[in-house]
Amino acid sequence: MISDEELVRRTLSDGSHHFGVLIQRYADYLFGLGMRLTSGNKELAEDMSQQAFMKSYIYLKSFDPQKSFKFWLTGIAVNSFKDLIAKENQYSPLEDTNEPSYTPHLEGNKDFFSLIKPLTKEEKLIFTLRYIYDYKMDEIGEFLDMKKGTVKSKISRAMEKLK
Amino acid sequence: MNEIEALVQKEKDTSYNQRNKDLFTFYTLILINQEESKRRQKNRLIVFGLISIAPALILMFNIESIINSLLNLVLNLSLPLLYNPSYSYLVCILLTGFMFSIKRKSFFN
Repeated sequence: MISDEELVRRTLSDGSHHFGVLIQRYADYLFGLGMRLTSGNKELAEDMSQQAFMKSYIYLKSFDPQKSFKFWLTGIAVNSFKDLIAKENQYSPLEDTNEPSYTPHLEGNKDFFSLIKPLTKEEKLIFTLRYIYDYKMDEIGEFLDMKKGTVKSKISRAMEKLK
Repeated sequence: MNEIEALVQKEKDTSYNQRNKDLFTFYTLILINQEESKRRQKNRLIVFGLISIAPALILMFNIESIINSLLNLVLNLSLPLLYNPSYSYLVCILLTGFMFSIKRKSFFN
């Protein structure tokens, strides 16, 4: 099997068709991350993973082969999720409208999603990265551009809420 | 706490799969190529724009310095000639001849 780093190198020198292999390799991983972060919203999860792949292709030159491609891609996906949240907040629904609103069809492990329901979106993100994906505090800090201490305090606040 | 751990473990064991991975890959690659060609087109437009307005910009911002350098060039070339007596004598003769020819022309007309 060709390594991720080699595929990145080939994509940069030969073109985007090599990137297809990387998309195939990480499509499920990013979709899963998206499902967990969006509490089972399939459409949003697909959108997020697609955005992440597009951004990663655009910024592929900045990929540091000393870190793993998966780690780098996760960072981009996390930022894509943050962008999606920002967009969602920008177009918040108007009050007192009679128009029918779109209700997304939610899938996945409903017990887990109802467990993390009381958390804010940022707390959900940090909690998921820490306990589902087992990322270290400093790695989460790197994804979110936060200090390790801040991540730690946000996790303990989230845990307090869950108890 | 045990309940949270159990739910987390259950979620860890859950696997999510993209509906149609081939189609997703194909569509994402199309979007990437579209984005890339858009970017290339934009870059080309920027380069074309810069090339087309560059001479105008140079003339606009450097016209004064261009005139100054031209004047300097002319003065630097002409002043030493005037200080040289033989050259100034030659210039005087030429000027007199020029004046004389004009005067003669007007006299015969």
